[in-house]
Amino acid sequence: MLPDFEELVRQHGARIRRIARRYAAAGQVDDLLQEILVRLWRSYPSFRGEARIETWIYRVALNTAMTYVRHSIRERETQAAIGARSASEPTIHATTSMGDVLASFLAALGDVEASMLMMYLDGLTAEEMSGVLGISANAVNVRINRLKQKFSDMHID
Amino acid sequence: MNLDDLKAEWRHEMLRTNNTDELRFEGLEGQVSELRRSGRNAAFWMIFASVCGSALAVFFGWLTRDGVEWHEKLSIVAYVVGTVCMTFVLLRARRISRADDWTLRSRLEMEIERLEKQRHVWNTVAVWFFLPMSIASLLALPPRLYLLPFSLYALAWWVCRASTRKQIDPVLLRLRELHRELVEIR
Repeated sequence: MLPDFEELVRQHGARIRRIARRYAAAGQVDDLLQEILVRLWRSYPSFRGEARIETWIYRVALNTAMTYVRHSIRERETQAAIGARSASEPTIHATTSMGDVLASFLAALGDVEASMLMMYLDGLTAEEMSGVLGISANAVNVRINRLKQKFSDMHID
Repeated sequence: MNLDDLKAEWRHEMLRTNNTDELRFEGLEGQVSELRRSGRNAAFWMIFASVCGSALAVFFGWLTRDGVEWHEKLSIVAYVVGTVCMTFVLLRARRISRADDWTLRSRLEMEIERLEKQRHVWNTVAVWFFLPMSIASLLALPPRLYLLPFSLYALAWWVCRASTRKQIDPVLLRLRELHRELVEIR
């Protein structure tokens, strides 16, 4: 085990867990988390520090999540259907804290948009996101503007 | 409120929930090797079983026996052809034409290609495997036993079609949706 790898992953554990939670079915988060960790470790020797550490983590984690999504797709769809049913039921308490706003906005987005939002909130540039997603920086900017618009529409003061 | 207002909350959340107790570092090396092995196992065992079967059929059914009938020889040839076809189809299905540049897009495209190939393999299993095997059975078995291998092949064919519909198609659909979500700007 490379000694600084463990420290590095510990610093970014919350980020990795967020991605795992987004893409894994409930009850399988730990499995995906572990698989991401394995792949990070595998690709760590080729990480030369040319890119930001967050960019590398998103790159590896999203890549792994895409492979994993094949196995978890039906469970996730069932959970999404249950989630949609309960979301349509009236709620007694309005969501007020910033944490709730963030969680509800993330939940309202598709997988790709949610990944973009996480990277945007982490301060990745359009070029860095383009390197992770494989689409042009211009397309990333268009998507980010749409996310901003969508957010404004949902949370008008 | 705008989207950038969430940045502070995100940073705060990354620090607050940075509990990494659940990350298991021990045994990572073993898991890496297992990950590499697991992809190869299924196809390997199918090919291995068929090759062994072919070798046994050739050795005990042909080489070590005297006065082998022409239809028995033809049956063994059909069995070997079935094995060769299967090996070729399974190995070709594993080959992906795209290079992985570690972007989300290329990974999605690779997964879609892999599943499309897998789907094609299962949908055409009757042609590349059951047909030569049926010919081999027709030639090797007496007519009263025909029903047995054919019902077995029919059942296996039905299982292949059903697993394509139930397991591969929904995943393929979802991956294509994700790809569209990523690539298309509407």
